[in-house]
Amino acid sequence: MHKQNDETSSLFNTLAAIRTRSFQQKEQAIHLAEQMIQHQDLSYIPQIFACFPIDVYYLHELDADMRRLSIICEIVAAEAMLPGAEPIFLKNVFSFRDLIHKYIYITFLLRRIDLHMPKQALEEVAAALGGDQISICALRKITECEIFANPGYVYEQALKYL
Amino acid sequence: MPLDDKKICFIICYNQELYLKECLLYLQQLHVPDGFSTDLLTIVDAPSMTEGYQAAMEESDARYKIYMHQDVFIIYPYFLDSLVQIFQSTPRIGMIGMVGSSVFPSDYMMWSDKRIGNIYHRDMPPYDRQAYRYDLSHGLSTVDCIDGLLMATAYDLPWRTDFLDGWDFYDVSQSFEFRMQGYKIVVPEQHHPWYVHDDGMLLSLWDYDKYRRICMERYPLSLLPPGTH
Repeated sequence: MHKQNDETSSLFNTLAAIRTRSFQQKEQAIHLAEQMIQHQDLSYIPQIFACFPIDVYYLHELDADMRRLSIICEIVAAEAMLPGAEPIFLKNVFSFRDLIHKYIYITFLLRRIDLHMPKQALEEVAAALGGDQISICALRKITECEIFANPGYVYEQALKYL
Repeated sequence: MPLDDKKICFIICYNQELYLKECLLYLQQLHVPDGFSTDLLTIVDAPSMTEGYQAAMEESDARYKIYMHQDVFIIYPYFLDSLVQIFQSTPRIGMIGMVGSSVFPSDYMMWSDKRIGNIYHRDMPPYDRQAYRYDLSHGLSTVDCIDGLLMATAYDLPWRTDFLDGWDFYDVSQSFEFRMQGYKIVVPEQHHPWYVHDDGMLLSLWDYDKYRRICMERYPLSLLPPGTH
């Protein structure tokens, strides 16, 4: 067997050491996100972010859903600054799972624009973005944070559907 | 079971309908090579990746099987034509991947060293997706190991359900199993990306070390065939 190098050992030892705590903090972040959704109360956002640091790591560096949650919190906070101050991202969202699904679904829709998918696939994009469930803040943040070949084009096209 | 040489089967273990639906949307856009048929086997909430893939493998009579993640969206329209072309060009090619390691790192972490492939990335130069088509002259890289995001096979070899009961290292193990049977594993030169991998940009590492250690014991590099090159 090959001997592990120090760097590899260090990485996995660190992960093992923070494993329990990071799972607990993720559970806590999910619980707070559920409270935010249930009460439509954005004052939970600082508490959610307070769950993120774990020693030298952050939850959003270790877990894809926590990464998405941190971006969603930024979207919701930005939406609160808009006229009307309505947390649009929380519309028709009833659980943490719904919250993450909505984020992923918007990403999928935007990717269809990026990839110039056929008309039928884009009709669903038009219908979804044309409703009142997705804000300009969400479009801007997701095109910034997710991978698109041409984010500028995606954002411009998506705005046309809003 | 005799295999149908003109059949291609997609095999997808999934746990989220949302991803599966999007994945299938992209599969529906693919051109099917003349004379071929396609099939789809989905496995929901499999106990492990190897068990899910093994069950599907036993159920399908397709010569060519494409084991892929729910979060992989194939964007290259002639993907199937190219796979068949590559497999038919060299019967010793047992498996094709989209990403692979030319030389498997001695720490058994595929991503710790240089990998071959082409990733859909931000600010890519624009290109005509319909016009691009792979040709064998573009090249093939022989690799030690491929990433499990997509593994296309021309032969059925058992998945190691006996010691891999999780979600990690099934790809490393299967790559070694193919090599130990004398097959080559290749990654085609992709002038433009063939897929999008929507994995949330993070690799889950919680159980990684456990399966890494198992594979280090099961597949000592010194005992493996001397590369595939």
